[in-house]
Amino acid sequence: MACIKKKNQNNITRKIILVLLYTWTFVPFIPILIWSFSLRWNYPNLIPEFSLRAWKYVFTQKNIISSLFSSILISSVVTAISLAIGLPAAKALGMYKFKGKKLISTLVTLPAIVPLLAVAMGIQVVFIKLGLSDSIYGVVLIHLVPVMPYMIMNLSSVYEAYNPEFEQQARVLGANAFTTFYKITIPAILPGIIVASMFSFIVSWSQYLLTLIIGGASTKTLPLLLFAFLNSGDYAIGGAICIIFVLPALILLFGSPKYFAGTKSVRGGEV
Amino acid sequence: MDEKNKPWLLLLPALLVIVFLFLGGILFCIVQSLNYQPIIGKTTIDLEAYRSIFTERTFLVSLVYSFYIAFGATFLSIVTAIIIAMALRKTFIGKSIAVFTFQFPIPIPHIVSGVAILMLFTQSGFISRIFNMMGIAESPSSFPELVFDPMGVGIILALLWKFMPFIGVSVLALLQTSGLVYEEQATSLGANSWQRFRYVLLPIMKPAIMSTSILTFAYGFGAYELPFLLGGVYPKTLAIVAFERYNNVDLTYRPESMAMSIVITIFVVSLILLYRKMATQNS
Repeated sequence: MACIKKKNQNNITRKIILVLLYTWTFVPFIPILIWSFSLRWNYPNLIPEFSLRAWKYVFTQKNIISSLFSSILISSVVTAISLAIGLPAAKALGMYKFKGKKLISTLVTLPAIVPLLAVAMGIQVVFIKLGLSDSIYGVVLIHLVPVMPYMIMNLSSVYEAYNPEFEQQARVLGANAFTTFYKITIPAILPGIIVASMFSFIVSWSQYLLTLIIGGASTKTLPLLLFAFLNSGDYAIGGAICIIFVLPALILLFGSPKYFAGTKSVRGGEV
Repeated sequence: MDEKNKPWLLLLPALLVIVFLFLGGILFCIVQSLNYQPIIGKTTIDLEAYRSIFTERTFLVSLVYSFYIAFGATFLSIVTAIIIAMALRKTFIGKSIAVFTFQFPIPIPHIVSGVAILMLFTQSGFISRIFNMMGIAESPSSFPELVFDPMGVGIILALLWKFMPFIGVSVLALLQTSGLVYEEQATSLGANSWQRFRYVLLPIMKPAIMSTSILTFAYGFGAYELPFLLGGVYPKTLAIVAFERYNNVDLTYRPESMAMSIVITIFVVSLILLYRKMATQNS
C-alpha cells in the first residue's frame, strides 16, 4: 500500500515539474510573437493594438534584408571553412591515438569555453594592419575561433562511433580510395556532419560582440540590428527580427529529431 | 605517408587557426595590456594598467558582480537541472516530448533568451501586466525590479533559461544509463530514496555537472550581450566595463581595457585547470 502511495506522489510531483517545464520553456516566445504583431502595446494591456507594420518593415526594408543576407553569408562561409578544417582534425582526434592528444584536445575545445573578448580586442590591431578589420573577411576569420571547437567536438563523436572496418572491407573487395570514401565513409558520417554543421552555423549566427568589434561599421549582421532596435525601444520590429533570428535553431530542433531524441544512442552499438 | 605523423598532418589546419587567431589574439591582448606602444616609441612593458584597474573601485565591483552573476546562474541551473532530470529519468507517457522540451533552449541563441526576459519581466512587462490583471500589482512600480536592477535578476534568469537544459540533458543521459542500473542495485540492497539519491545518483551525476557547469560559469563570468541588454547602470559586468573602456575615444584607456579582458581570460583558464586537476584526482 505504501509503495503505491509513494508512486502516486512521484507521479504528481513529476506532473507539476512537467507543467512548470513546459511553461518555462515556451512562454518566453509568447510576448516576442505578440510584440511582432503590435502597433502599440502599452501597460496594462495584455493584448496589443494589432498591426503588420513590423512584419512589413522587416520584409521590405533594405537594411534588414542586407543584414539578414550578411548573416547567412558569413555563417555559411564560416561553417564551410570549419567543416573543411575540422573534419580532418576530428578524424585525427576520434580515430588515432598519439602523444600529446590530450593537450591538443584541450587546446581545441578551449575557445568554446574561454570568453573571447580578449581575443577580439587583441587581434584587432593585427586585423587593422592586414586590412581585415571593418570587413566581412575579418568577421569570417574571427567567427572561426568560437565555431571550430564546436565543429570538431561534434565531428569527433561521429568519428569515435565510426567503424573503420567497413572501409577496410570495401578496400579488400577491390574498391579504390575514392569509391570507398564516396560510398562507405560519407553515408556513414553524413548525418553527423549535417548536425555538426547546423550547430556550427548557429554559433556563428548568434555572434554579437565579436562581429561588433571586428566588423566595425560596415558589417551589420542580424544580431547587431536586433540590438539596435531593442535599444531604441522598438520592440515590435525587435520582436519580428527575433523571430527570424530564431529560425535556424528551430530548423535544427525540428529537423533532426534523431539527434536530439537519442543523444547518446547515436553512438553505434553503445548504450 | 608516415603513420605516426598522419594525425598531426590532419590536425594542422585546425591548429593553425587556433594558434594564430586564438592564442595570437590573446598574446596581442597581453602585450597591449602591458603598455607596449611602439607607435609612440614606447618599447618597454609595465604593469601600470593592471595596477590601475586593481586599485579602481569600478573594476573591483564589476569583478565581484560578474562572479556573483556567474555563480548565481550556475548554482540555480545546477539545482533546477538536477530536479528536472530526476523527474524525467524514468519511462512515462509523453517522455519524448518532455525530453524534447527540456533540451529545447540549447540551440536557441542566448540573445533570444534576453529578449524574452526583457519583454516578460520588466516592470511594464508581460508578467507585470498579468499581475495587474489579477489585482496583485496596481502599477508598474508595484512590480519588483527584476531587470535593469543591481541584483541582476533578469540576467541570471536569462542565463538560467539557456544553461539549465545544457546541464540537465547531460545529467539526464547519465541517470538513464548507469544511474538506473546502480539505482536498482541500491534499492535491492535496501536503500531508501534519499540514500539512493545522495550516495548513488549524485556521484554518478557529478562528472556531467562538473563539466557543464564550468562552461556555464565561464560564460556567465565573461558575458557581454545578456548583461548589456538586461543590466542596469551600476554595477556592470567585467566584459561591459572592459568594452566601454576599449571604445573610449581617449586611447590611453586601451591598455586598461586589455588588462581587464586578460583578467577575465586568466580567471576562466584557472577555473578550467582547477577542474582538470579535480577531475583527474577523482578518477
